[in-house]
Amino acid sequence: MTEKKGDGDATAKNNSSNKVWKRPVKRSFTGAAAANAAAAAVRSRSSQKSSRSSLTLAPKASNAINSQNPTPASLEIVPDEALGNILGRISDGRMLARCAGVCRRWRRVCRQVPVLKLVLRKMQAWQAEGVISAALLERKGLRDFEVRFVCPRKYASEGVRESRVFGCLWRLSSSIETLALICPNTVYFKLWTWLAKFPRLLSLKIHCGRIEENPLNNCLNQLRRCEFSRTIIAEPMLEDLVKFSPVLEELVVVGCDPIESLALESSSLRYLNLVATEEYPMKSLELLTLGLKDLYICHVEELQVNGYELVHLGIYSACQPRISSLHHLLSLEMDGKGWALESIEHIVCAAQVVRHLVIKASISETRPLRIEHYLSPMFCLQAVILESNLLECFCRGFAEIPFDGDEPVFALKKVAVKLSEETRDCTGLLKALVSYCPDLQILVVDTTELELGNLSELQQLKDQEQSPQRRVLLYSDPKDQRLVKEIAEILAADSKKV
Amino acid sequence: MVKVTLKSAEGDVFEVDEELALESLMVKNMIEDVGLDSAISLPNVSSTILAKVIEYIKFHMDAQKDGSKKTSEEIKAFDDDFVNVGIPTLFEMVLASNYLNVKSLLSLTCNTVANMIKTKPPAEVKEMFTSAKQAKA
Repeated sequence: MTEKKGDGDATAKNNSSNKVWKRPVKRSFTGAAAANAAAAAVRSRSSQKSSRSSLTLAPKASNAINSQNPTPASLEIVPDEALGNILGRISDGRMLARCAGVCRRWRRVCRQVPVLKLVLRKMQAWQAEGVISAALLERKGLRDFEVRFVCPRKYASEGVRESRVFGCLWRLSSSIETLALICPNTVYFKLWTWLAKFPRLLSLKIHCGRIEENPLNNCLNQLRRCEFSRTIIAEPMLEDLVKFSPVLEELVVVGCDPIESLALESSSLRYLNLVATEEYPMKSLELLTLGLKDLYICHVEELQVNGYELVHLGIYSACQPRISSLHHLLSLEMDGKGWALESIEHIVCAAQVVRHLVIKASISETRPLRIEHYLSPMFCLQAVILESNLLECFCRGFAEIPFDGDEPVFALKKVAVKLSEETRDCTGLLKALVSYCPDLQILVVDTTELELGNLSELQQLKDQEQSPQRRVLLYSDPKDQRLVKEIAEILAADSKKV
Repeated sequence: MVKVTLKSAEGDVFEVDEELALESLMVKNMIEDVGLDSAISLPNVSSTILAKVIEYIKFHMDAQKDGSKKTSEEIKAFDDDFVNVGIPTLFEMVLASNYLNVKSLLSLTCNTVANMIKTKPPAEVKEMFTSAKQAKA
């Protein structure tokens, strides 16, 4: 009952606050946080004074300013609201516990800070449980909670028990919006049952651990963002999660295994980032999504998606795609080794309006190709970054296959290529490419992988093509930090704009 | 351009553009309630602090306009320089931006104070942020 009185605002009557001033001293020893003990010691010295001065805050502040006295260097002049704002930016639990020890007023404000982040190290699981419950004991209106518990290897521990964590959070469940649980070894048997009691949960992040239960229907009505990393999850769990979260927009699953195949069906999903592990690549991924805009996948062997709404697509390992259309795709990135040329062709053919194309994927078998055939269908293309042995195909194609038809005109503004030993003599190709692109502003040629030797042809190309409208950057020294930074900026700026 | 008259605690009068004054949600509400005719008095803000707040809003409005050549680094340098003042002034700015309800300035000043708290050992924090009564006593 005294809790309510103690939390009254700064304008509370003197006598009421005097009545309850002993309470925190008692609690701080039960509360197990060392900083609180220190706080109690200080409080016994200055609590009455400080509580008085904090009570008369507002008038004092204005007096000080009005009379143009030099204001004392103290946060006492700042009202609770602003102090809460300041302390809310600290968020770290340990720091906050220290701040709570400054004076009674700070302690009260600290309790109401909506953000709490606990980083627990060098302790065993049962100690961590104690700290968590102590930190949450007096808290009110918590909005963002993050706990990060790294169990030292010497204690072969089970991890923090879920019942203890949620048992403490239970009281605050109505206000919590963001929850991040980063505890290795923790096994969640009833995660979704617990989470069903958090009506305002917007964002959930679970890192490390194992989840045994499948989501329940109607329990995650507000959930917008969900992230799992390095968590062992049962296969149908993700499917159920997506099915039962009507407003889920962002799903990030990183390094979670073993997931053999996955079919996700959702109309709300906007962003999906799926990274399987190298040892257990995902066999197939099927997406039945209506509004998916961003898709990034890695270690997925087969992808089937109706990519009509996709805007950004990144595939970071060899993949067999079955994509029906990519009519809104603006940026496309492919990376990884061992791609089949057909897969790349399949994606590139579907992506007609793409503006920013990055190919770092190396293909398993090279053969001569004409670059014009590749670039012509993508009539909106503005920037191309080529760091793959596809360039070798184009080089050979340029030399071996005669091009019939008119010279194409590309809208390209930026081109970056990385040369290798095989593509050393690509000057002819580059020259032709430049002549196709009247608006070309920047050409970056990365020659860091070439053995030192005769680069005079490239130098010549640079001298010929350089003009006030067009920059040609030859980049041969990876230690030239300024140039590296500049190039990275140029290339990044473009992808951001997309 | 419509002008708004602001009156500080000392009674000094500041005339600023309406657009600039509207950045402060508190002044905005006052204008909506009282209108533009009379001066808006701000009894909790001293002249020096009000001048600084106006300087801050002006700079950021100029930086946001199209065609301004200020880079993000320049803006950051200005912000750093702006809060690089004595602790009393900084606290008064927190107070003023909280009172005037200028979101960007409030977050800048609060962040600065929070960083000060973070980098100091607890004893020093105690001394620094609650020393008023001891200094007076």
